[in-house]
Amino acid sequence: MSVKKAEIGTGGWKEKERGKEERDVIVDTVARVMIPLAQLFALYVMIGTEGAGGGFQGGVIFAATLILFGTVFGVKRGREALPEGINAILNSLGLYIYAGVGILCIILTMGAVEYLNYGGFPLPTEFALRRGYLVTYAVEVGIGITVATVFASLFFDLAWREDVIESREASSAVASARREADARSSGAQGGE
Amino acid sequence: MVSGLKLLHVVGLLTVFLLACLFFYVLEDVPSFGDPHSPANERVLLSKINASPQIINELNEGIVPEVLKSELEKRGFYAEELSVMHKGDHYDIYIPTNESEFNTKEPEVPFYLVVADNAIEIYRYAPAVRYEERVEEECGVPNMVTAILADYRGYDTLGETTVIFTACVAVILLLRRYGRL
Repeated sequence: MSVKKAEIGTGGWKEKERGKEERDVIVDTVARVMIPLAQLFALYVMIGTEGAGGGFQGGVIFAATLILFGTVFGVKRGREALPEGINAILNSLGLYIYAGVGILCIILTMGAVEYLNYGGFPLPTEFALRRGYLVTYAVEVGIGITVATVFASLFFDLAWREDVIESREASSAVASARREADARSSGAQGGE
Repeated sequence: MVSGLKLLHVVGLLTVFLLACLFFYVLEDVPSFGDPHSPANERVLLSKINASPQIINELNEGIVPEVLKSELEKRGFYAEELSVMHKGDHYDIYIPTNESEFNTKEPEVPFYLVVADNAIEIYRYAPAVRYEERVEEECGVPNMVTAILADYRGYDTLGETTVIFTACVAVILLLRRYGRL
């Protein structure tokens, strides 16, 4: 098995060839079974108002499932499941939902209520229920989306590996020069 | 004197001790832990005024005495259009709400509480009381924490979410090693 040269300015991890990594069957199967259930539980914590919890807690549980996915199946597959562009869109979308509901309260009532006064939102229910619906289904969900994608993004930004870096740096001239130097040195070592 | 002990060290040590003394001094006034009926959780004493039969009569008739109004005004509290209700051993004072969107069929939550014994003590209801008693009928959410976090304290939570978002952006700028958007 050929070991890729993967020690460019990093901790010096040896990178195995992709597809040949040994993966534990138990961990694999348990993660496969548990991730959807945990995500369902995260949605319950996020939206269900009967029990304890809220947007922050539910979002963190959801992020934990994404992190579990990245840990078990590899960072690269995790990134394929949640690409960076979608991640960036989502973690600003949550904040937009929250702040946008507040703005909509002003706009839709022509300025009769203040910012974030959900009771003025023109829904066909009574005052208190309007507040309840918006808090539960807009604000908490917005917070949850932001928190979940932010923590997943933190994990994936910290858990980079060399093969991915290599593919990124392949475009830059510096990297190619480095690689040449690396190849030369490894060739010298092979000669010894 | 220990060698190497500078003035700065002594001052720092003294500050720590003073802070500890202050902490223990304050600890005397802290209400017993977890008591839901401690004054901080139920009411806050604003002031005391002398009781006279005339004031108590006015309170019993449902009129807010002028002395009480001026006392509240002097301390910067709302003192116009108040209404009084006699509740057993104390009087509850209500404030009308002015916001057009609120339904004002019934009087709002009592705002001040007056106990008339030898002297008249004016209390302000703590916000926790309002949250506990009225959160479900005001917000339609059975979970008190959610309602406080996202509704009463909406600005605060918006700020918290923004902080988390900003942290994410900072980490992306500093640590993202692969890929572009």
